[in-house]
Amino acid sequence: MPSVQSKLPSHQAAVTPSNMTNKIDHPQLCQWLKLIAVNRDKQAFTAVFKFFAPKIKRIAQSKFNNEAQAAEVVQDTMSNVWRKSHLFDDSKGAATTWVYTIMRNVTFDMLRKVKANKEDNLSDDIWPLAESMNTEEETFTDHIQNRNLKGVIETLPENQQQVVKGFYFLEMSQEQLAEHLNLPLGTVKSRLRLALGKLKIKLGDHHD
Amino acid sequence: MTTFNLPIFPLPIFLLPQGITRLRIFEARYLKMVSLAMKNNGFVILPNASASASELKAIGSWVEIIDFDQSENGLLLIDVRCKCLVDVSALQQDEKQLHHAQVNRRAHWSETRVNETNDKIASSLKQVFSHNSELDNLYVDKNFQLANWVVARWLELLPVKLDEKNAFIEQDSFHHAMQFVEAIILAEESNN
Repeated sequence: MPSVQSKLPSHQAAVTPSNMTNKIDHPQLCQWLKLIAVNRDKQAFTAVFKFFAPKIKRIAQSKFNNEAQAAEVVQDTMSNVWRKSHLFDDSKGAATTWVYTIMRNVTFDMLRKVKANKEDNLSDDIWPLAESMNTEEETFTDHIQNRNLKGVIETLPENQQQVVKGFYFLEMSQEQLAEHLNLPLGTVKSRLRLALGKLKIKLGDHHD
Repeated sequence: MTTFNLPIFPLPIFLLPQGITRLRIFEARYLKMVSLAMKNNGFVILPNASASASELKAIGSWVEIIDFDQSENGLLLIDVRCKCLVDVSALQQDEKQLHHAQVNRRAHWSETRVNETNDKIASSLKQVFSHNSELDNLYVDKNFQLANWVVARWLELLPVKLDEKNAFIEQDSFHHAMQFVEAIILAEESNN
């Protein structure tokens, strides 16, 4: 039988550090973020990803001293960049400042969770995967946008995908479902809401 | 009732009996889990692991590894199939931080053959598979003629929160599940 444990994953340079880092092209970064916000431009996201991911990973690794968690910081930060690019306002500060602020918030959230988990007698850093459930509390809109990320990720080179993708994609996105049913996204969203509403009524008694 | 002791993989996904998914494994403790699972009886995917730390009981998907591969940069890929749902209790952590728990099989509606299927639901699912080769390749056997199979696969795929999908873990929730899928796919409801 082939040895499945032969090698620990080599997280070798997920993204090669760019030679241009000594001179940051701020207008270019701003333009990419706008393209992401306005056109949901995947190439622009790839470019932003290439620029920030290695930097974020390096910083996160120094905070957590743990590769998996550093990868998670990269993943969460970059998905927030994708989702929130419309909130970026270049009159208020540099793109780098904006992205690092997101990273800082992600890192703080994660440190808080690690700390909170320590108070459970069962867990320290042990449920990193389950943590992602918390994001499900967000609204439907966020949920779609999260899922949109899958399409973007597919366009990244394989080694970058590994970092972002983590484990699995089983579910369809709302957009995929809309496309599949050949319906507008709004219709699919209202069907989902309606179906959930009916279900809740039927299950009424179990409901707290 | 027979109790098994199995390794636990915390992952927020909804996987019903006969459901198949691909996982990427990279942490050392989970590589260990895979090697244990290959030697013994598989492992359990536990979606709400954080909650189960405080509550005494939780429900997970007991899976068997049906295929594996290694990606170019050394990540282990495994395909797992859910053999049944289980009640999970007595979580314990070993020296490698891997969790183990006592599990008991839990019956689920998806294990009962239901021959009369809604054709539209089935053909719509068939299309999803045919347009998505990743998904299509995971399933060697596709049972589009069985309503229990079709509804279970739809529930796994639908973009609905895990908490909400959890309503369909109940053993007798098949009709709710069927109506739910129909309401979304067909925007109509079957008669009760």
